[in-house]
Amino acid sequence: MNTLRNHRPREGQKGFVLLMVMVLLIAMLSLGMVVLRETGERIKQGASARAQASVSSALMHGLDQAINELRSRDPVTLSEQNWDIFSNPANPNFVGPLLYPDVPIPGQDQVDVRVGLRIVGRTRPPPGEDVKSNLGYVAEVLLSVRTQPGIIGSGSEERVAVGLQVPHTASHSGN
Amino acid sequence: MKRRSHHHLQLLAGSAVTLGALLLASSAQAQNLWNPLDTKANPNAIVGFDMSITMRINESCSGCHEGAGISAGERWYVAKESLKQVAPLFKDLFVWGGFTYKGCGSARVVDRSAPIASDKEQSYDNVFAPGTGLADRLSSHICIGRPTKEYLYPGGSAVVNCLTPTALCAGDAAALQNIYTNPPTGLSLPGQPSATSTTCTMTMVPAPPMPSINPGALLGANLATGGYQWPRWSSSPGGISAHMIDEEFCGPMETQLTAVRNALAQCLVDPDAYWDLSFLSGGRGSWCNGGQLLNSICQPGSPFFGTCACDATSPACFSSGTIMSECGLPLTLPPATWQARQVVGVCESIDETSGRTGAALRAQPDNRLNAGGCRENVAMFFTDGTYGNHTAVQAHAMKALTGGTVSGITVPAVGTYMSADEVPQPNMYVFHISSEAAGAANTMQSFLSNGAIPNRFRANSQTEMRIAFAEVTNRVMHGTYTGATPGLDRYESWVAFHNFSVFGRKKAADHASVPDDKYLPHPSRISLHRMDANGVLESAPFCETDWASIAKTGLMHQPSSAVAAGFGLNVATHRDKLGLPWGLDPTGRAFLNYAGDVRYRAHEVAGGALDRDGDDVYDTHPPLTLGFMNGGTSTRPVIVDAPRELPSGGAASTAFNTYLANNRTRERIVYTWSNGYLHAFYGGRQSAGAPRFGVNLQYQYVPDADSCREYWRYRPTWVPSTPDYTYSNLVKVPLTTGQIAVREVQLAASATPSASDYATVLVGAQGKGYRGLIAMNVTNPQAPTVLRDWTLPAGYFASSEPTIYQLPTTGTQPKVAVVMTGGEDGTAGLVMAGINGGPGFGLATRALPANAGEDYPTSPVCLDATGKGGISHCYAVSRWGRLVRVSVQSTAGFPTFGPAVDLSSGAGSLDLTSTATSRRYWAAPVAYFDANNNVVIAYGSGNIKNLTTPNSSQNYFYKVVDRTFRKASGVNDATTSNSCSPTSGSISGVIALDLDEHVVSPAVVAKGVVAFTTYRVGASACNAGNAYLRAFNYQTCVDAFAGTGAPAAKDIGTGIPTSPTILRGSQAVFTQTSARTGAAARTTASIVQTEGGQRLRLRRLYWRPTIRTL
Repeated sequence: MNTLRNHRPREGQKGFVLLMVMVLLIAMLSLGMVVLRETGERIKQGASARAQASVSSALMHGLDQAINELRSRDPVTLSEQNWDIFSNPANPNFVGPLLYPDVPIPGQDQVDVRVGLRIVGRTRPPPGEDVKSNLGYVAEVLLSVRTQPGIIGSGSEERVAVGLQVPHTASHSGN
Repeated sequence: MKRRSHHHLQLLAGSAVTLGALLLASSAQAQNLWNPLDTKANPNAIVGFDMSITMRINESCSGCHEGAGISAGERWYVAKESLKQVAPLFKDLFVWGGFTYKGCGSARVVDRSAPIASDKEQSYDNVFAPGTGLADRLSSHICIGRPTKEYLYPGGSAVVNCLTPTALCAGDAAALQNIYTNPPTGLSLPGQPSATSTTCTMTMVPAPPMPSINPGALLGANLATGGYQWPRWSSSPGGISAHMIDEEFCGPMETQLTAVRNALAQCLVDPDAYWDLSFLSGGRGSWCNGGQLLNSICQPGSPFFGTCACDATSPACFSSGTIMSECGLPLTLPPATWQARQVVGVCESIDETSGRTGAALRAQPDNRLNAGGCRENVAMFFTDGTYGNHTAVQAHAMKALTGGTVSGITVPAVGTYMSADEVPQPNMYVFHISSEAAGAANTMQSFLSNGAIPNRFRANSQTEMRIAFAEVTNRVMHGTYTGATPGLDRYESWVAFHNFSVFGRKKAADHASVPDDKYLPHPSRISLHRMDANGVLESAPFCETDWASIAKTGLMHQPSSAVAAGFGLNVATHRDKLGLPWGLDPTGRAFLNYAGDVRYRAHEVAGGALDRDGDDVYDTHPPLTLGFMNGGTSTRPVIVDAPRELPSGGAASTAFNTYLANNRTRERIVYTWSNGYLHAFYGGRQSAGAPRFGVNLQYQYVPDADSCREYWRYRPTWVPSTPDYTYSNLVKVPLTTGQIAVREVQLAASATPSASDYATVLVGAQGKGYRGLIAMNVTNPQAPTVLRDWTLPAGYFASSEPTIYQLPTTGTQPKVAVVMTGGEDGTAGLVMAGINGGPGFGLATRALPANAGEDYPTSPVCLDATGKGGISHCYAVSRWGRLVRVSVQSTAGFPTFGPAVDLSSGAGSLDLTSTATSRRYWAAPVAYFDANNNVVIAYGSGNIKNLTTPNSSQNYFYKVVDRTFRKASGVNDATTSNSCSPTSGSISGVIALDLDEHVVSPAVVAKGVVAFTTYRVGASACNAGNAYLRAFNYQTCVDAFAGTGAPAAKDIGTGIPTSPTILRGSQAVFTQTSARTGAAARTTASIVQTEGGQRLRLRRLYWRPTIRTL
C-alpha cells in the first residue's frame, strides 16, 4: 500500500514536469510563432518597401528619361504624335519602353516603365521670361510603372502624371 | 487601388528641374525711338532774313508795298513761308538759329535767335514757332516807306558822308553855296545872308567881346556833323523817290536852317535883317518840294549833279574815313556803293561781339570754331540779293571762310562757315527771292562760297531748298549706321542686320562710282550673317540685299494683280516717291524724279569701292546696286520661319497640328520697313535638322543662292497720305520708322476646327509722327493677303512697337488685336485695335493719366496678371515715368479697357513724382513674373533728345514689383521697395546709373536675366559717346556677369546701343551699337549666369499619381 502511496507523488511530479515542459514548449512555440510571424511581416514589409522604392525609383527614372528626351528633342515635334499612353495604352511611348532597374540584377524584368507625354494647354511663361516673347505650356509627363508578381510582390501598376510648366518662345524673331 | 503620393508632391512642389534648350529664343524688344544720326553734332543752321525795303516788293515785281499793310506776295513773305514749309523736314537735323537784318532806318540787325546746341527743339521753336518765332516776327520789322537810310550804319559812328567827292568834304561848302545860289527846281531858298559872316550885336552890360557868326559855315557844319549824312541816291529802282528826297534832304535842311535861325536870333538883335529865314514858317513843302525835285535834283544843271548824293560811285565819296563794321572790316569798299544791308547781314553771322550770332556759335564748346570742335555752321540768307555784289560782302565772306585779300585789304580767316570735311568747304548759301537782281544774288553766292557755287539758290523753290538742306545734312551725317536691333533667328544661327548709309563729299581716293553728297537717298540693306555656337558673328555677310547680282534680279514673287496696287506695282504713281524693285521699271531706275538728274537714280557702285562698315577703310564687297531700298530707318528685321508653337490642347489641337504640318516647309522670310514699303526678303529654305546646343532640330534653315532676294514689297494705302510723302523724291524722309511683329494666332473659329482657322499674322506700325498700321496674313509668304490697312484714331500715333495679342472673349469668335499707346506726342492713352473679324474689326481706347505735355511714347505690355488664362492687364510708362495699369475686360464682342490705375502715386506705391520733371523715359518697359508669380515691370530713364551734350544727368533703372494680385485686399501694391536681394548691395529696385548714362533702348529678360544697354554721352558732341551693358538676376538684382554685387556697366564700345540679345544657347549677350556696322560695333559680351545655365527651367506644377492593382 505504501508503495502505492509513494508511487503516486512521483507520478504527480512527473506530470507536473511534463506539464511544465509542455507549457514551456507551448510558450516557446508561441514565441517562435510570434517571431516567425513578425519576421514574416517584416519580410513582407521590407518587400513592400522595396517594391515601393522600386516603383518610386522607376517613376523618377522614367521622369528623368522623359526630361532627357525633352532636352534633346526639337519641341516642334512635341505635337506630332499622340503619346497619351493613359488614354490609350496602345499609343506609342514618348520614351522607352524602359526596364527598371536598368542594370542586370534579379527582378530587372519585373518592372516595366512607360513614359508618355500630353500637352495640356498654354499657361503663363515661367518666371524670369519676357511675357511678350515667351509662352508657357503645361505638359504632362505620363509615367506608368508596372510590376509583375514575383520577388518584389504581387503585380500592380502605378501611374503618375507630372505636370510641368514648359517654357516656349513665340515662333518668330521679334515678339 | 488609388492613393495620393504626398511624398512626391511635396518633393516636387516648388522645385524646378531644367530641360535642355527647349527652344532657342532671342530678345523681344526692338523699339528704338532714337535716330542713329542723333549722335552726330547737328550743324547750326543760321537763317538770315533780309527785311530791307526791296523785300517788300512783290516777288514778281508787280507791286511795291511801302505801307503798313502786308501782302502775301511780298518777297520776304514768300521766302519766309517757303522756309516754314521746308524746315520741319529738317527740324531734328539742324540746330536752328537766325537773325533779321534790314537797310531801312539804317543798315542793321533788328532781331536774332541764337542756336542752342543742347536743345534742338527749343532752337527750332525760337525760329519757327507760329506767331512767336523769329520767322513770324518778321512782320514787325517791315520797312514802311522811304528813305531806307541804308547809309547809316550800326553803332552810331560819326562818319560823314560828304556831298562832294573831296577829301574831308573840302568841297562841300562851295557846293552848298551853289545850292543856295542855283537851286534845282523844287527848292526855293529866298534871300541870302547880307554878308558871309557878321559880328553879333547882342546887348550885354558890360559889353563882352562880340563873337562873329558865319551862317553858311554853320549850316555846312551842322549838316556835316549833326548826324546828317548826305544822301546816296541812285537811278536803280527804289534808288530815289520824292519821299526819299523829302526825308533825306528837305527834312534835314529844314532842321539845320531852323538851327541857324535860332543861332542868328541869339547873336543878332535883328536877325532877319541879316538873313530872312521866315520862309521856314510856311512849311517845308513851300520851299522844298520832293515831288518837283525828283525830276530835277540829279539832272544836269542841278547843283547836285555830279555830287555824291546823285553819284556815289566815286571812291572819294567815302574819303572822309573808313566805315568799319562790328566785324572789323570796312562796311564799304570800292568800287561798291554805300548800301550795306548785306554786309551787315554777313557780319552778323560771324560777329562774336556778345549777344551776336557769331558769339553764340563760339560759345558752343563743340563748335568747329573752337579747338577740337566738330559742330559745323551753315548760313542761309533769304534775300532778294540787292547790293549783295558789293565788295564789302566779299570781304566779310572771306572772314567767314578762308580769308584772303580784297581791294587791298587783307582779311583774316575765322572759318566760321567752313565744313569739317576732309577738305573743308564753305557752308554759306544765298536763297534768292525775286525775279530780278539775280546777278547780284549770284555774285553774293559766289562770294559766300569762295567761288565754288556760282549761282544762288531760289527761296521760292522749296525743292531747291530741300535739296540744298539735304545735301548739307548728307555732308555732315555721312557714314554707315544702324538704328535697328538685329533680328536673330530662333536657332541663334543667323542674324539679320538693317543698315543704311549717308553719302557725303567724295574723297580724293574714292572710286568714280562712289556717290557723293548729291545722292540724297539713304540706301539701306539687309545683311545676313552666320553666328556660331558661341554667339560669335562671322564678320563677312553671307548675302546682302544691295549686291548687284541680287538687287537686279527683281521680285521673286509678284502677288496677283488683284492686290497689285498695294504691292508696289503701281509704277506710274509711286516710282518717283518710293522707288521700285528692279524689273518693274524697264529702265532700272528707282527713286527717280528728274530725268537726267543722277541724284535720284539707282546707283551702281563698283566692287570694293565703299567703306561698308564705317571704319574709314574700303571693304571687300561685290558690285552694288543702291537705290531699291531707301530707308535710313530703325526697323528691326523680323525673321519668320515655319510656325513652331504648340497646340493649346483640346479639340482644336488636331486642327492646329494640321496647320503646323501644312506650313512646315515654307520659306524663311525677313521682313522690314524701309521708305514706305514693307519689304519681304527671301532668307533661306528649310533643310533637314541637325544637332545644335544639344537639341536635335527637326529642321533648320539654310541660305542659298537666292537668299537676300526681294520676295515682294507692299505699300500701305496710308503712305501717299503721309504728309512727308510729297517730298520723298527729294529728301530722305522717315515715312516708316516703326516696328514689325509677327505671331501665330487663331483668326477664326469654325464649327469644326480646321487648319485654316490659324494664321501667321504680321502687323507693322508706321512709326513716329504717323498713325498708319497694316495687318497681313503671311501664312503663305508667296500669297500674302491684307487683313487690315488702316490708321489709328486721330491723336494716336503708331510710334510704339505693335504687339499682337489673342484677346480673351466670352463669345465664340476669337479676337486678335494690336495694343499700342498714343505714341510720341500723341494722346495719353491706350488703344486696342482688332485685326480680324472685319469689317467692324473692333476698337477700344482708354485715356491715361497725364499732365500737360506728358505722353506715352513707348509700347505697353499686356499679360495675364490674374492667372485667368488670357490677357488681363496692360502696363504702360509715360515719358515722365508714370507707371499705369489698365485691365482688359472680356465681352462677347470686342474686349474693352477697364479703368486706368496710376501706380506712380499714392501710398505704398511708386513715387516718381519728384523725378517727373527731370528724367525722361524713352525705352519701353519689359515685363515678367517673379518666382512668386508677381508681375514685374522693368524699365529705365534716359533722354534720347539730348545724346550729344553731357549735363550730369542722373538716371535709374527700375524693377517694380506689382504684388496687387497676390493680395487678398486687392489694394494696389506696386513698388520698388524690397524688390531685390541684399546680396545685390541693395534691396531697392531702383538701380542708379552713372552720371550721363541713359537707358535709350528697351531692356530684355530671358532665362532669369534682365539685361539692358545704356549710352553715356561723350564729353562733347565731337567725342563719340559710349555704350554699356548691364545685366542682373531677375529675382535678386545681383550682377548676372559676376554673380555678386550690383549690376555693373560693361563697356561695349562707342555709339548708341540697341537692345541686347541674350543667347539661350551660349549664355552670352549679343549687343550692337549705332556707331559702326562692322564687327567692332557688334559684340558678344561675356557669359551671364542664367537660371538653369544652358538648360531652360521647368516648373513642376503637380504630381498626380494613381495605382492600379493588376
